[in-house]
Amino acid sequence: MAVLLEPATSSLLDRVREAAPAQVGAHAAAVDREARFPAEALAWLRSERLLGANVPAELGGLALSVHEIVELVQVLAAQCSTTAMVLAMHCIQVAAIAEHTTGGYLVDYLREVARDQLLIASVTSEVGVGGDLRRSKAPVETRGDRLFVSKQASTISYGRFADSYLLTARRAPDAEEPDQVLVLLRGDEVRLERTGEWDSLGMRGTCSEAFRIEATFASTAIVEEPFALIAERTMVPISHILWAGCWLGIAFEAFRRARQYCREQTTRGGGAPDSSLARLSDMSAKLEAASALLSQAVDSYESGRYGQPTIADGVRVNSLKLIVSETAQQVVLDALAITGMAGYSERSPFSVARLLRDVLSSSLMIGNDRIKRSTGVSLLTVRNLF
Amino acid sequence: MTSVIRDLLAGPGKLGSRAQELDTDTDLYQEGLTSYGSVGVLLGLEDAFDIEFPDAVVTRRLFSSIDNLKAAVETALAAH
Repeated sequence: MAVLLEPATSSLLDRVREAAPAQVGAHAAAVDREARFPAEALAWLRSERLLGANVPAELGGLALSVHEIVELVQVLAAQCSTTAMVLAMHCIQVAAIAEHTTGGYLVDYLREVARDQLLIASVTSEVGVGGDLRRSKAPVETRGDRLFVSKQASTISYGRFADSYLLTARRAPDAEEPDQVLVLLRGDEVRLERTGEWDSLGMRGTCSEAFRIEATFASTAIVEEPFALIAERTMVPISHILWAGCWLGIAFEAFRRARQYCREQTTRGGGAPDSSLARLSDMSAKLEAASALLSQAVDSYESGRYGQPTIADGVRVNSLKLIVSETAQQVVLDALAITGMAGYSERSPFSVARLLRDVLSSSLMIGNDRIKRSTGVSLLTVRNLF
Repeated sequence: MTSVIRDLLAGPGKLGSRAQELDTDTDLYQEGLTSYGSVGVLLGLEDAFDIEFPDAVVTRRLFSSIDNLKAAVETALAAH
């Protein structure tokens, strides 16, 4: 089976690699400058059926492996970080549903996602929980034979442009904050009231605005397994893996620009300074190490290792996030040091300005300080990590 | 042993006095136990019984009930 699929997916990735500069990269500067949703790039992703990237084949999706999706996200990130992050976040939502649902309404919905190329947004953030994914304030309430939720989300990335929303909430009004469920809300069930703007340093096209979101829905929209399990087994590891793909894609592009700059210095001027060549070497080594760590995490994920993860597994996933986010930032800064004013300019072919602004989001998407604290606590209980 | 577990759930586990009344098969996470809280309980148990839980048993399932915690302590004591 894998042998049969391989030529098809590699030709898809080749096609994406070839078309991405025109279909995605060409609009990236405008998306960034105007802080607008990357509509052209999303239309193209839809035409390539890529919103079904990780929808199972029997539901009409492309059923790409996690390795392939990481590669896809990296290729896109080199052109437009926003587009890559939108696709990554959508695939995370699909994975959370697909891995924790056995049938019925939600499986039918995944079929619709693939058929109609629907985009799913994440509504895990909430005002008042301090960025903690594993706590919710808003409860699911019963209203007659329907259910109701009203949540003040601190950010919903591409909230105005999504077809549906995957939302965390307390299981019931009398449930504790960590007793959460995951609910799929269709656009036509939802009332969105924008309560905050998004005019950010980077990742500007994700339009991650604040909203009050309210919806009335049927109980079939609740993913069967408790969110605690979904988070631990799927959402946290796949998020860190696909975000890492996005940030590394940005860093790879910064490396390419710095390398090209050094080549031009060598062929046209008096040669690249030794300090730049040494930096290139450093950048390459750092990227190699971070890529290897990412690849290892994907192997762990695909082997089902996170099905019953230990605290040590959680520590490793957190380490991936920390290493990749810090490495990607360092590499883009190294590229800036090599390219100098050309890199600092938004206009030059060697510009790393947008890459730098975008990559800085990597230490904030689940704050690194929070992750370090929780990893530190976990390490108190892990004996044989090494 | 169960009373030690309940005291740790109440204190480091931050469940408060409710911990004394929970059924022994109740899911502790659904009762509000956080990951920080669970680490506190774990370290407290290791200290109280002078045991070490092997990394492989330290999963979510360990904290899914007082019964599971008790069984894990008993296994660790037997291996002692």
